Amino acid sequence: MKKVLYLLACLFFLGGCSAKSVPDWTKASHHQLESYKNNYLQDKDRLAEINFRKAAEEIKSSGSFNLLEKAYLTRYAVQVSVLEGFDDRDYRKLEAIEPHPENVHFYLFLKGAFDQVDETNLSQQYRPFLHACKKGKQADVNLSIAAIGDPLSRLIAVGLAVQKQLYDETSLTTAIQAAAEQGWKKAILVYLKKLRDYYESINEQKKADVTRQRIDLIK
Amino acid sequence: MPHNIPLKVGLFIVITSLMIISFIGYVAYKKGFFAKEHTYTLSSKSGENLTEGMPVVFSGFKIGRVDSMELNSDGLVIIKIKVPDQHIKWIRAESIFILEKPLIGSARIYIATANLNSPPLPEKVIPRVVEANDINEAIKNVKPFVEKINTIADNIQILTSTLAEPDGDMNKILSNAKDITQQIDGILKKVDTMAVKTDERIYGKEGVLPHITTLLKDMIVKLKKLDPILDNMNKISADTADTTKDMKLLRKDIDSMVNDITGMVNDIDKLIPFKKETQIKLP
Repeated sequence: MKKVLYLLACLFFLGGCSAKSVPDWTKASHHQLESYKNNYLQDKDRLAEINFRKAAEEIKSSGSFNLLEKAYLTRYAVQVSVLEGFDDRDYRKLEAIEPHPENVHFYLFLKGAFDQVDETNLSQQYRPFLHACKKGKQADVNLSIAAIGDPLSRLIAVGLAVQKQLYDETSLTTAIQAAAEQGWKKAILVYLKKLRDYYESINEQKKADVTRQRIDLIK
Repeated sequence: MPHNIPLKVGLFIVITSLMIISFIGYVAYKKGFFAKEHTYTLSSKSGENLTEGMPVVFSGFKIGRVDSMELNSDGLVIIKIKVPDQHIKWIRAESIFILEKPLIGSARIYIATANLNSPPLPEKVIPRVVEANDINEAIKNVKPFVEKINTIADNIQILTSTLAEPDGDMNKILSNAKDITQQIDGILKKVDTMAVKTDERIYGKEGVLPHITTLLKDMIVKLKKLDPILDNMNKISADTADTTKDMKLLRKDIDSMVNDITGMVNDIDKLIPFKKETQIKLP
């Protein structure tokens, strides 16, 4: 037992020596941005706003335009994931000064300008979804959404599919499951309401009533 | 008996005749009878208002007269005016000859010379006489007023006839006004009745005012009871103010502690291997 403990201590020590020290602002900004995502999706908007402001302040202290652009795009992506529009003026000011291809194409992706998006500059996880959207086949869109690993990215994809009118019961249910797994109340309610509207639009009144009851209970 | 009476009488007559002739001659001289006269020829479309002997005036002074008038082969009236030598300086090439017919008085030819330095008018030149007829102008000016007065008179006539009609608008208005005054009279009577009732309800024995007085008295008693509560409230607010000060201090302490803990966490974070990546990436 003692040997095992010694071994673990050695491993920690060596690991600590090998690890490159991360600047405080990087950790703080990363932490604040993650908190922003969670708080916003959990319907804690005031806290989320504080988190985002702090994250932006920390990144500004580094003077990195690339990271600041990423922070704003993260904010817009989160808003897209809960079917909200976004005010892109802050990002466009930064992009005008220092454009980064990865950020530029992700921005176009969020805006729904799929024809202008260069796949090579887009994250690997979104590429099948982009293909499916361009083809316009609902089944492919649903499959590509389900294949996205990160729950937030999955919600973003569903948000964009809704924006492009490429959604059905399956895609909305996928979004609800992803949000439910993470405890994102705001996202759950938004997609439940969308699902209720969808059922009403296809005259599935029973399903719509059940969904309404679910919304009332969760609220 | 005086001598040489016939001689004396003859002398008297001769001297008297000489004196009369010299007086007449002097007056004629003074009047310009012997002065050299220049003749200018003017033309006019019409001979109306023109007469021989008519005065020619410059700046209100007579400087000549119309000597003769005749009609030429072109149908124009040729007017010859005579101006004494002493006055020809007022007649220049730029002079304008105006036939003036004032509202009162006889017509005259008026000479207007804007530039007295212009060359003298040659006698061969025949300038045209311009007409300035005051009467016609006055009539023209008065005509619109007369027309307006006529229109006003017509309107007054219409108004008076409307007023005189038994079924006219004015009579209708008057009868309506009568009805309205009757109605107002009725309303005023009702208002009077209401005022009497209101007076009773407010100031009467069972009126509102005695109740309000009672209520106010009760309020005063109750407010007096509230005085200790207000004192307590003041104490509480003072205590709260103190507490707020303490809270500020406490918050500063907590801030400092949080900073310390963050520092410690960062230090521990540095010591732990295989930690989660902290790089900012797009979602």
